[in-house]
Amino acid sequence: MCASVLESTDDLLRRAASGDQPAFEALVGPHLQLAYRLALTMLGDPAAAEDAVQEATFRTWRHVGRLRPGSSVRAWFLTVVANHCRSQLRSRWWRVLRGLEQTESSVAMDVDPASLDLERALLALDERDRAAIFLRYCEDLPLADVAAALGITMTAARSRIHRALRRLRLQLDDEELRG
Amino acid sequence: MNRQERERLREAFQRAYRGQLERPGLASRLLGPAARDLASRRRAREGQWILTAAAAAMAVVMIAVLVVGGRLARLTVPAAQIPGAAYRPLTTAADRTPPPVPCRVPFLVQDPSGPAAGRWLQPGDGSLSDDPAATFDVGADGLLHSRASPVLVGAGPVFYDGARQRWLPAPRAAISADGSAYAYLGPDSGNRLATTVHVVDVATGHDRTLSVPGGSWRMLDFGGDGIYLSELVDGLGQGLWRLSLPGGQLGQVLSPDRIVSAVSGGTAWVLDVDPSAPAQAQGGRAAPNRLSQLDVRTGASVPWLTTPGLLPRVIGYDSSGDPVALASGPAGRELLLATAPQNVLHLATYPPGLSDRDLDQWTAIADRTGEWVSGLDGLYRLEGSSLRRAVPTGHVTHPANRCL
Repeated sequence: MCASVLESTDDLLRRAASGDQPAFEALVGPHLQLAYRLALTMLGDPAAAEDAVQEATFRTWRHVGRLRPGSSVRAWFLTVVANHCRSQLRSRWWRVLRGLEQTESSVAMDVDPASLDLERALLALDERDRAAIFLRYCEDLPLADVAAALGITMTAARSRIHRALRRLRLQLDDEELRG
Repeated sequence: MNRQERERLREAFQRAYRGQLERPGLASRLLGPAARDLASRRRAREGQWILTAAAAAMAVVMIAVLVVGGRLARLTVPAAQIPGAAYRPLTTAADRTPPPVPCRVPFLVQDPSGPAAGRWLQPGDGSLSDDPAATFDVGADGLLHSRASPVLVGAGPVFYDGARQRWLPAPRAAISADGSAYAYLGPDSGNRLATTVHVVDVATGHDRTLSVPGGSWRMLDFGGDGIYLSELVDGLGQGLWRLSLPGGQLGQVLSPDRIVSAVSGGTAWVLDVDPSAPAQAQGGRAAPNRLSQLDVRTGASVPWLTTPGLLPRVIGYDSSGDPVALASGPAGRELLLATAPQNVLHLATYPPGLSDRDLDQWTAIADRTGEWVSGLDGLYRLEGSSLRRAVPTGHVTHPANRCL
């Protein structure tokens, strides 16, 4: 009974590579929410995050034949999502929008630097640092999957996570001192 | 991190994103019967966006032109004549029919018995057409000379400028961003003291020359702030230099201990030796066997691809911006696509016997219909993981732009 219901990932991959869209959806569907959360942590905007996941889904469908049997669909899909988010962040239009936001944010920080709390500290992180600690500690992904998703080595991923945690812990200490 | 800290971090993420870490209905919007045709869905969304935000749409078009027409289509390919041979694709993924888009792909056929000729392919129905404006004679100097007026001279192979509707005797990487000029290096005249850099005005054919010291250089990119060059030592491009325009001052960007394969925007693809993998011997030293992505501004690099016993070189990029590399060695050549660090897809194996000069021509250009790749006997298209011959020509053939 199980064999007819629970197809192996490799079978689904083969079917998806031959153009079977339900098979592709069975592969990618379980990872959509995670992909959306990753995109949200990188882009900061829910609509942009959904667009990024949609674009990544389209790209993954186009290139699903490249995924080798035994590969992790989740890691690959997250890599495509993160790549697309990075290209969005690099784009001129996005930088214009972000530049305006950052200007407003920096004004607020000038007014009261001590008012930064943990979530603000999170938002102040580099988007890849933020995505790294989100995937590692909120989604419990293995370090190798975090590195693959962000297109960096495990050493670099570890370094990003340590750096981000160091900053957040400093912020936590400040909060505790104030409290 | 202990459990308490982890929980606090999760709550902080929830607060930071105002409880929007879950997206209800995401699967039904992106997948399922109502959204089976993702391509048409995407087009519909883009159309809606264009209607509701004209300014944003203009920015998207600008980005698309910059990315698809520029960075992704860049390649580094001097000209040469090469013998015919056959491909042996390594993968047999199912054919993925390209979307029926009304566009044409320009490509160049190098028949050694006649002039180089540009042609057009309509991917939808496979129909072909000639283009009388796309004929180039190979001069005694080894350079391509256009028959169309004004006569344009270049080192080849050829790029079709869609905006100006003009065939240019230079690869995309050697053409300025606005298409008004292109550059090529003068043929080797035996002068070991200086190399001539030609900057050609496309509208008039006027050829302005600049001089850089040293007799052997490779052109990597015609950027917005100058022409990027690498000094050739034992066939490898050492360092990165910017020849500023119009003044012609030469400035160092990366030191000569960096071996540079390609440059695109602020990213350089550099080569080095991975000591954990076999490497060829070259000039008494180990030849590079690893390709890394280098951020030119920060100096941070990420190892991307190791090719044991083979020397890798970037020849283009796929639609995601991942590098298409040609790896060469005594036993033959491999065409590879690296979709993530150390995630390598073998696309094709080429027989031994081709010279390094032959391989300098290889070209890959990505667009919405797939990736177009040079071939020894025709124009090839990368579909999924499979390299297929889209147009048999019997001669060396290069894509001249994306589907336009």
